Amino acid sequence: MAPKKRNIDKIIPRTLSGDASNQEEKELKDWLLEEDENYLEFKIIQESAQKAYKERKLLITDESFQKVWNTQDVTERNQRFKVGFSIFKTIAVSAAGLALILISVFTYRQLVIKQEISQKDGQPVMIEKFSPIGQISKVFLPDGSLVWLNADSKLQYSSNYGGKTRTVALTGEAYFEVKHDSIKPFLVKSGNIAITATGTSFNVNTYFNNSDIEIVLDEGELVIENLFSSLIPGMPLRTTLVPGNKAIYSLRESLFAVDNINDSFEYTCWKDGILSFRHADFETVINSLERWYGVEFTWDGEPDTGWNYTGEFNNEYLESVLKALGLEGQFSYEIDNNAVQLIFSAH
Amino acid sequence: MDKHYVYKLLVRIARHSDEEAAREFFEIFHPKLVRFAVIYTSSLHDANDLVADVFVKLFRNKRKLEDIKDIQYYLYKAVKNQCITYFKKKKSDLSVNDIEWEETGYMYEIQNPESEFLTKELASEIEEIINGFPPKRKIIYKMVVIDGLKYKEAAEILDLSIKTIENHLSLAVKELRHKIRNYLKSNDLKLGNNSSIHKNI
Repeated sequence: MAPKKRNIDKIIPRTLSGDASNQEEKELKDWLLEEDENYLEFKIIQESAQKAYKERKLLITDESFQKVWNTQDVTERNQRFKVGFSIFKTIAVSAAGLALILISVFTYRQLVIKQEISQKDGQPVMIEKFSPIGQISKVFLPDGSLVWLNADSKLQYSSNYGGKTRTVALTGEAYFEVKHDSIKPFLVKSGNIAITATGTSFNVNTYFNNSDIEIVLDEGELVIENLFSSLIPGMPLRTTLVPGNKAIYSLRESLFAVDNINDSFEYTCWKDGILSFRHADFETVINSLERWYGVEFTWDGEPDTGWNYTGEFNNEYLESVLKALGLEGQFSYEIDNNAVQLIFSAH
Repeated sequence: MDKHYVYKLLVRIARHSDEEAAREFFEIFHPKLVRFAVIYTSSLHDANDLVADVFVKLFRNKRKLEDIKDIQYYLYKAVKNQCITYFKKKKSDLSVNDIEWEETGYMYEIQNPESEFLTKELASEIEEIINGFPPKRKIIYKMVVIDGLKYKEAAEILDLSIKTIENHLSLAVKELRHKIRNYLKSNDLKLGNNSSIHKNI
């Protein structure tokens, strides 16, 4: 019996797109079984389509993403600001407060406009990543380097990052995992120092107290330089760190002090959600908790002068942290939204 | 494209404004959308701008992302609309242009070709045939056979009738089958005797 003439060229693409009816699928099956060549033809077409699936990245994809993400981010923040503003108005604040808000809305808008204009000109723009209080953020840089931004920290870089150099500016605390590139060194600017890395993991903390910058190296090598060292005679020019080193740069004295540490864990565990204290005084603990949980502390009475706390909290609620601290530091606490009141028992 | 995986990315973007997920999502769709827009704009630069606008709008309404039923279709459609607006501004009509495919990167490419059925040589012959299709056929083949859009969806996006889509595709498959059959003959390739693979159809 001569096989019924069917239009297999119509059925094949319908099957591949999922448009084929049951009847057509059956027809295809019959045709496939008729001859080995049929089967091969179909399989080859199907496979070449599947393998063509993964699109090759365009050269402009990375750069375009950063622009898209930053633009939408700015607009979204702007929208949130507007919402906040209307709530503010309804609770009837003082005229002075209102004026202040108006000014900040105004300047904020101006900033947004400026960014859009310069983007059109193809001029580089400053990209800013901010991790608010109570939140840790992960930032992917265009070259594939990774940055964990601790709460209340800010990272800035130009939209042409990765072109000739890889430079970022940091306020706050961040952990860097830098993609190796010996031609374009990675540069962190903070205060008046510059930290240069090629392919390294390290932590930079500018807010553990107000006058020092602390740098802890996990892997690789770092060179730390004072940006203005050439202007001041007798100032140490630079220092090199190797794994297991911790450098403290004193902003007041413009001096580096390099120490050895046994374990970088206590300096870098924050990025995994672990809050760690080593012989921390009261002020350090309070500052950390305020940033970490986005709360504000007030207290009655005075902490013991020898207050010294060592301990770890792994992704715990504020309440359980306060309970543990209170036992040791002899205080009770009250939490009211974002306000925490500590009551020290009399010594 | 793994639709389930893409949906998971969308959820991460919608709920956590997750930049890593957004980047991955962008990398999946950006190249294909730019290449699609190029067929109308003829300019890679303009195509890139149009597509960027679509993504900005999409990311601005993150919370609605989870409600989009078929994101690929949605994106193609959005890019198409953006192209229409673009041509209105330029006061000309939207049309598929005869462009230098190679310049715009809208090239069909088979990755890691070698397998049980495909050889490197055959893969490059297939690439050549598809890249040599007339522009419309090439887009249709890519959208339907490779990206997996339904006939109806492709017809809507491209402003063509389903019949036209059908015709182009059957001509495309006919040409491909012819080429493959000749190749198999001249290289004397056959399935092994133990063709248990038949059961897998």
